[in-house]
Parts: sequence; structure tokens; C-alpha cells
Amino acid sequence: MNILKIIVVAEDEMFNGSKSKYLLAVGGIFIFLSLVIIHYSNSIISLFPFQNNINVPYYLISYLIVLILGPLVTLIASYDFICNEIQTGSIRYIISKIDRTSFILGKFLALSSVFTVAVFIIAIISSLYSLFLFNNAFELGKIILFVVISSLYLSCFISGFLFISTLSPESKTALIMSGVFLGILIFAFFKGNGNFLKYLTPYFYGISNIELFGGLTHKFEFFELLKTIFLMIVYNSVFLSLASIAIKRRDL
Amino acid sequence: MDTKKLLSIGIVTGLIIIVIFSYFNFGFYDGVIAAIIVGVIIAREADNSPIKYTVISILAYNMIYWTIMAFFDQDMKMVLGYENKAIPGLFVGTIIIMIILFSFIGSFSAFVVYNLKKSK
Repeated sequence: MNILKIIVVAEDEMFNGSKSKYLLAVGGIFIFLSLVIIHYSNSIISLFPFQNNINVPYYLISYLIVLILGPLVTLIASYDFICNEIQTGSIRYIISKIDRTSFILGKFLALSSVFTVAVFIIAIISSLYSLFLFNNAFELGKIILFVVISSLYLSCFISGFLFISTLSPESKTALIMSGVFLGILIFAFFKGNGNFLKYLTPYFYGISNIELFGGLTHKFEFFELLKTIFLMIVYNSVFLSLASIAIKRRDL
Repeated sequence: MDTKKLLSIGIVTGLIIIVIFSYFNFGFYDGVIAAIIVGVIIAREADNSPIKYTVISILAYNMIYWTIMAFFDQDMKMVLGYENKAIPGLFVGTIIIMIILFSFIGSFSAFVVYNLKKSK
């Protein structure tokens, strides 16, 4: 594993690779959809006709967009990120110069960087709406927390989909199995309330930080935040290690 | 390995695990663990398309298990024979959804194990 090589792979994947335009387009669509949802969330005020001073919780709405829409968008972006290269044979040119672990980590870095930028833009949009429509203060701390937690949450899914993509022989299989994986995660989240199954899903880590953006900060514990960030990093590391093991065993 | 052997191994293993686990009252975990074990066993034995065999085996042994339960279990007889047909409908629907989810889990475990086995 070499950090310079990882950065080279990530840079190539983001700006020069065969899927760079696709990746940037998916990121752009994610931002556009979020902008549309944030813009029309003003209609929430119409639910409270007799109260004057209501602030639309833009950060909470943006966080819910990331929680619900984010996994689907990462699936679309990353399901055939590796198996497509294996299928076309272009991976052989890269593997001859760069070791396999760096290749996987470079791909992961490219995907997570694109989604971190997307999440940052979403946070800026929500803060601008909050600033101009309701004259709320510009909260830099909240934006940084939003970006860190959301990008870690999305990278949990990205690492899982990269692992599936490494195992799959075809793009079609990767898409189906990624969908199945997402279904299993949703099932584990709904059935795992109160038992160990909840720790297997990134949804749990995402939901446990929701108080931070919902205006109920007095209920929030700092230790809980650190715990979920640590668990998300462990989750990412486990799936990236599995992907690394899988690509090392694969005959390319 | 041929289809008959694979399916019989999957169905018999699943039935044995699900019956043993039902004595320990694990709740819905017995189905999840049985699905994972059946997926792993079929993926290790199958020469091609293990996901198909896993899904068929999981559907088959769950159907057999619940049919036997419907005939011999007193509580289940009571639920199925309830006057208001919404309750047995809800019960059967929940079981069908759970079986589909178990087949998802089993197929995923089979996919992972088969692909790791294939590329050494």
C-alpha cells in the first residue's frame, strides 16, 4: 500500500477515467435532487398556519435526504466500479504498476471524495436557505459536523458496494447483489432494534446522530458522537479489508 | 455436484438447523442463521449458479417447516382458524415476507462464499 499511488488512482478515477463523467454526473444529480427537496420543504410552514415564528429545519431535512437518498445514489455510482474494469480487462494495465490494495483504496478515495464534496455543497445550500429565508446565523460547526458524519455514513455504503463489485463477475450481478445487500441492511435495521443486528447497518449510525441536526442538542451526548464515528471507521475498514482480500484472491 | 444432491443437501440441512434452533427460542434469528449456513454449504458444493440453488432450497425448507407447523402446532391451528380472516392473512403474509428476506440473506452469503472459493 502506497499513499501516493492511492492518490494517483483516485485522481485518475475522478478526472481522466472512463467512469469519471458518470461519477460526477451522479454526484451532480444528488446535489440537484437535494436542492429541489430543500427548496420545496418551505411548504412545511403551511402545516402550521397559526404560528408565525417557525424555522424550517433545513439541516435536519438535508440530513434526512443524505440518510434516505444517499445509499441509493452511492449504489448507482459504485456498483460496477471495479467489476467493469475486470470485465473489460483494463485493470491489467493498472495492476502491473500499482498493487491491488492501493487500487481498491484509490477507488474508494475517489468515490468518497466526490460524495464528500456533494455533501458539503448540500450543507452550504441548506445553510444559505436558513440564512436568507429565516435570518439564522451561519453555523460553521454544524456544517463541519454534517459533512464529517454524512461522508462517513455514505462511505460505509461505498465500501460495501466496492466489496460486492470486487466479487462480482459481471456488472448485472453486481447491481443485483448490491440491491440485495441494501435490502438486507434495511431488514437488519428494522428488525435489529434493541439487539446486536443494528450494529451491522450504517443506517443505525446515521440515525443515532439525528438529534444533532434536529434542534435537540441538549439531549445529545458527545461520547455517543465519538462512538458512532469510531464504529463507522471500523465498518469502513472491515469492508475495505474484505475487498482487498477478495481482489488479491481474484485471477485477473 | 448435480442439482438433486445440492437441493436435497440444502433442504435437509436447513430443516435440521431450523428444528434444532426452534428448541432454543432464538426468535427470528434461527431463520437468519439457517439461511446463512445453507448458503455457505451450497456455495462450497456447487459448481455453478449457487444463488439459484440457495434461493430454491431456502424457499423449500421454509415451506415444508411452516406446512408441518400448520398441521401439528396447536397455536398455529388456532391462528389459522380464527373467525376474522384478516388475522390469518396477516400471519401468512408476514411469514412469506420473512421467507423472501431469508432467501435474500442466504443468496448473499452464497454469492460471497462462492466467489471467494472460485478465485483462489
